[in-house]
Parts: sequence; structure tokens; C-alpha cells
Amino acid sequence: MGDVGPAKADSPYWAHLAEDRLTLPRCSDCRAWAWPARWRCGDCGAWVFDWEDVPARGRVYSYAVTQQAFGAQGAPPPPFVNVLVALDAVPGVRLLGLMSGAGKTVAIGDAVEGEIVPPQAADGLAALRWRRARA
Amino acid sequence: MTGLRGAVAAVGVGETRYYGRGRSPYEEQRLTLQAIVAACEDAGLDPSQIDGFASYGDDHNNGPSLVQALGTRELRWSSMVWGGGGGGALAAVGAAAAAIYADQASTVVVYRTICQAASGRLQDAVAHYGLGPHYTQHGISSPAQLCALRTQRLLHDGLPRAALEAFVRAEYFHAARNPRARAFELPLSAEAYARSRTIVEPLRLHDCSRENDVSVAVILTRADRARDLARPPVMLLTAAQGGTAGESLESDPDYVSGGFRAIAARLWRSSGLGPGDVDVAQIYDNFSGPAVAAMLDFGLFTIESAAETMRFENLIAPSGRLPINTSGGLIAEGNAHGMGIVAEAVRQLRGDSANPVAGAEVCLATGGPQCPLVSAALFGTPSTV
Repeated sequence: MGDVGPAKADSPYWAHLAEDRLTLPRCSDCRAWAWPARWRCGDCGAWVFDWEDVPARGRVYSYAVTQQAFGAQGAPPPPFVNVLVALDAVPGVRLLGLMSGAGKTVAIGDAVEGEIVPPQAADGLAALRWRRARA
Repeated sequence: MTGLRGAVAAVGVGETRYYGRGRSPYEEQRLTLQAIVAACEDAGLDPSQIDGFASYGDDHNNGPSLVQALGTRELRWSSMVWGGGGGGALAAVGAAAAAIYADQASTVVVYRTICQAASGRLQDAVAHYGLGPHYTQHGISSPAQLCALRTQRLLHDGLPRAALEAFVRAEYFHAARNPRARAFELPLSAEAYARSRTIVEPLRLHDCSRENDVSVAVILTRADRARDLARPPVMLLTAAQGGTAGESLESDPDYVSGGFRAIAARLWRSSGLGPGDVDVAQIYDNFSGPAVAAMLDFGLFTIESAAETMRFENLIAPSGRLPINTSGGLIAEGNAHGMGIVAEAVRQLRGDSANPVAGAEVCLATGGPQCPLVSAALFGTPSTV
């Protein structure tokens, strides 16, 4: 996991992603989705979350095309396209990711599907990549 | 009405030069002291009379580190607003005012120093406040990228691109007349804006705030003390910090807003004023899109009225009806994480702005759109109290 010290609220996300599973936390009591991850459900006060498998499918809520390198470790050479994806299965939750493939062929509202890229760097973190959904 | 109204006044402003990025000849504590001493000279105060310090954005120069050099006899207040960027700019003003109002200190300096060689535009602080692996795994390490995503959606939702251009060109118009500004004597034509290179689509170079070294300080004290000082006092009418989104980040239900809607409602309620009462506005402009989103939050225009309100001619002093960022803002004057526009709010209302707005009585100042904590304040001339 690359983490040092006690687990963080989002540690299960990274652990599951490295196992090729996209999961998000859901309050075990009131069933509200809780993303970004937190330690306690602000709605009902429960401290336990179930990490549920979620289909990596959604629609592009927004996108940006980075033309200048900013130096993020592991960033691809510019230009690259980031998408913010509103998940089909989880109302109100949006996930960021890189759009696979060159060129800015993406538009707001496009259907996309994600794939999980296994950990490649020393930090041991997997990553979501998005591509246009097959019709 | 809030008890703060008219109780606290801004009495002095000071800044160092805006040096190029990494070009400051001095380390940031010296820059900080220079700005504070300049603000004291402006106010007609001896620096030893400062007994309180308020900053934000993880500024490295805490109050106790400054008292020896200033000659402060007794430190009474030192506070920091959490947050990595300029979201806390007016929250720091609010903290200083609250301290003065509650008699925890008598004369408080609010300040911000950026020295890129020392703090790297506080990239460490920015990363600490959110740009962890959920961002860096996707090549995202700059607020420019996150603000570009939000701006893209705002344009999709109906904001005309021309509103961003008008905002930026108005800033450059003002900076061209402001000798302190990085863009002094450098107005920006519509053609030059259109030609400017893309940093992160949809943001172009001129949509982005400056990289520079600077320190800016503003001194607050009790209004009844302010009347004996060198400059006309500028009254703090009200201030608010916070927000409703917290760290919901990219899942923010109000994703395209500047994050100010709750704060705007609080400012209007506590002041008895409304958007129509704002004579001039200093809008925190990390990037043009979030700044314009903040203007929407405060009701300074609507998507429907954008074509009418967000015109270059309407946004410039002295002739426009809604002059914005009359020093040039972070984009064209320089980036002090918002203290520069707080200083400009003070100058504007006491009549020594480089771009004066005739008869201006109420000025809105905002801090840090599209981050987990934002802040804003209304300043007024003594006649508004």
C-alpha cells in the first residue's frame, strides 16, 4: 500500500483497487454513500462502512486538457485529458481519472467506462483509466 | 446586524515590491517585516504598537517570530486560518477583527508572504490540503487543473466564455495604471487574450494568477482609535468564513459555484446590504473561471445577465457600473494569496487607488474560490456605519 502508520479512512479504496476492484464506502447503518471516505457517517453517526463493489461506468461530468507539465509523479507527458466521471451506480459521487488514448475526443455527457491499471510505481497504488464506453 | 459593523477599521496597508518568481533578494521573514513596517508607516503607527498577528494559508511567519524585530512589547494575539491557498484571506481579517472586538488585542496586522524559493508557492501546503494520491495518480498536481475542470463545466452550464475574457481584460486595464503591478503599462487586447497559450484547457495563460515573491500587510484596530491616525479609516462592515461543501471536493453538489453561496447570504444578512449596494469588488482570482463563479455566488450577475454585466467596459474604473479588481488582482497585479486585493479594498475606499471609483462607499472582497474553506468581507467608508 505504500502507507506508513495506521490505516487512513480511504485505505480500503487503494487496497481493493490494487486487487482490481473498484469499491466505495457505504454507511453500514443508514446506507448513505460516503465519498470522499470519512471515519464517521455525518448523517447517522455510525463508524462502520461497507466497501461495496461499484461498476466503473459513468458519464463525463467535466474534463480538462493539460497542456503544460506540472510535475505530478507519474503524470504522462502533456497534452493529456482528465475526466471527472459521474458514476452511473452511485448518485452524487464523481471520480477523477485519466482518459486513455491521445487527443481530446471527449465531451461532457459522454458515456465512459473505467479500467484499473495495476500498481506501477514504488507507492504501490493502482489507478483508474477511462475510455469511451463501447456502444 | 452584526456587532462587528463599524467596530473595527483598517488603518494602514503596506507591501513589498512584487518580485519575479524566486527573485526576492530577501528571505520571507524580512519581506514580512518590510510589509508590516510599511503598513505601520502608512497608518502613522509605531511598529511596536502591533500586538496581534493573523495570517492564513500556512504562512511560515508566525507572530512570535516577528515581535523581536517589531519591538512589540506584549504579544496578545497570533492566529492562523487553516487551508492551503487564499481561502482564508478574509477569514484572517475576520479573526483579527474578532480579536479586536473582544478586546483580545488592540492593533492586529493581517499579512501574507510568498517567497517561491522558500515555499514553492506552498506546493507542500496545497498537497497537504487535498492533492494527494486521488489526484496525483491521474497526473493532477496543480490547482490550475482542478479549476479548469470546474470552469469547463461552468461554461457547459451556460457561462459565456466572453465573461472570462472581459474579467481578465478589466484586470489588465487596471494593472496597466497601477505602478505596483507586474503588468504595469501592459494592457491586454482581446486579440492577445485569444492568442494566449493554453495552460489547461479551457484556461489560457492570462486566465491564471501570477507566480511571484511578495509580502502584503493590512493593519486593523478599533474604530475609535482609528480616527486619530494618519489615513482615513476604512470600516469593516462584516466578514464570514466557511462554506457548505467541506472536503466533498470533486463530488461537491454545487461543483460549478465558487463555494460562497452560504457566505454571501450571511454577509448580506449581517450587513443589511445586498449585491446592488456593492460599488466596487475585489474578487480573489486564482483563475478567471473560479473568480467569475464567485461573482455569480454573490449575485453580482446571473448567467442570464452575463452578456450585459460581464462586459469589459462595465468592469473597469471609473466608468463601469461594476468595477472589479481595481489593482489588477492576482492575475495582473500579482499574487499575494489575496492580501493584495484586501489592501486594494482599503485604498479604494479611502481614495488612493490607482484606479479610483468616484464615490465608492462599499467594497466586497473575497478569498479563495473553489476550495474547502472560503471567506469574504464587506468594507465601507465611515459614512456607511
